Amino acid sequence: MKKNSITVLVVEDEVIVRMDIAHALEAAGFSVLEAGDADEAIAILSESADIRVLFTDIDMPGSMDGLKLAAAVRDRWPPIKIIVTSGHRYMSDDALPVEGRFFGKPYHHKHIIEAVREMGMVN
Amino acid sequence: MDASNHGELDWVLVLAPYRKDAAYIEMLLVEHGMVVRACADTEDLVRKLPQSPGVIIATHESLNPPTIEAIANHLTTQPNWSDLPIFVLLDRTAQQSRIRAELDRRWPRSRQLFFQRPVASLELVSGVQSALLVRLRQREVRDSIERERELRLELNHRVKNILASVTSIFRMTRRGADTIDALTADFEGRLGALANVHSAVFEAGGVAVALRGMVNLTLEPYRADGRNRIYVEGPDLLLTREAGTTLALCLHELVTNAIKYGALSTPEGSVSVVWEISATDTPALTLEWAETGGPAVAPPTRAGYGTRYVRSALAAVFGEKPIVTFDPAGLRCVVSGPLSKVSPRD
Repeated sequence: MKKNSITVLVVEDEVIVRMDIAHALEAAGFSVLEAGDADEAIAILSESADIRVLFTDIDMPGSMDGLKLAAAVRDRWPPIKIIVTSGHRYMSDDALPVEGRFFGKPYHHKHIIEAVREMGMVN
Repeated sequence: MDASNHGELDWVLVLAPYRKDAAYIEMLLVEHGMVVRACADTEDLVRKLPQSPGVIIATHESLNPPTIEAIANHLTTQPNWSDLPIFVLLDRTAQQSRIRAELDRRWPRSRQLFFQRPVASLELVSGVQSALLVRLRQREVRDSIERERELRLELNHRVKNILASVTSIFRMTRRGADTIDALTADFEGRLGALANVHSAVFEAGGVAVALRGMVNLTLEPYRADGRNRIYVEGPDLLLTREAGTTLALCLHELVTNAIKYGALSTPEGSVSVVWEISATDTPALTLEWAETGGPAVAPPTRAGYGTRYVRSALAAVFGEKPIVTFDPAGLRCVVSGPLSKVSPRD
């Protein structure tokens, strides 16, 4: 597969789940950055200008959960597209407090890859 | 009245606008440890009802249409666990059946208790006390139903997360496996480690696990040959559920790696797992895995699942990256971080 330019930031506190989706996104041709919580994600976002998509879990320890992180990204980096996941609750895309997509856990990798691809093309 | 329950019991609203009935009832109930507020008129009643009395006492003559209406409105705002007890003190000459039928119709979701005047104080006091205690029990049942609901939501959340982890473990194992047999063995080993630490956390109450117990439990299956080649030493300490689970999976990766390629692949080799806590203002936990006596170690040409997982997972648990050294004498992995990051809060 041709290497395309879309960079995805994956935010997930469960290491094994994060490694797995990061691996799958890399195999699909995306560049992947990883963060274990929202604070780490904000630090990475402040340093990397080329992130196009945020893929974040909602339920994470730390000062912000994934929904607050998504809201912060919408406010500070509005061009970044947002994908949210959770094992805790089901949400429709419309119920998200930010414009984006929701996938319940456990999710299928191909659905996430398709969503990242669509969002990357819109830009 | 049971003094230990006193603080939790609701208060009693008294509606007795004529003569000195209100003052008398109030005195009687207060004497028996109850909290009482008397209402002078309907306006006062409308002000006090939103403060949720646990019992209402109303005299026959207080029940004019606006008062009946105000109480009826209040009853519609009751939560669904609540049947508000209302004591009605009737005159001997009252048309009791007509009044009972009328109030029953106007006040659904209440439990009406009718007393004939003159009311014997013992009956009134014990009746009101009993109603307040029933109400207290109702609230306790409500609270435990709410707790159960929260626990079920939490259980659903945990199960979903575990399924997500197991799915990821399977996919990662499959990527690293050359044959179906290897995939099966590796996957079983990893799930076994996850299951063991889950049991240990559950048995310890669900929120914490002892580091030493977790280490021994995780390494136990690999000590079966009767010779102790795994040396474990460190002070007793508790880990959070998350830290304990992740560390157990790391140790499992390290020990299986040692069996396949490292010190435990030869009869002479041994492993030490040692940890210590620094005696500083903000104590740090340092954990070291060191192999000796095995075949000469060379750095791997590519990082496999195990190594990648151990690096990322230890970094996540400790907040600091581990130092992994492929020393020819044996693999070493050292990680250190604030103790507060891995221990449960009291």
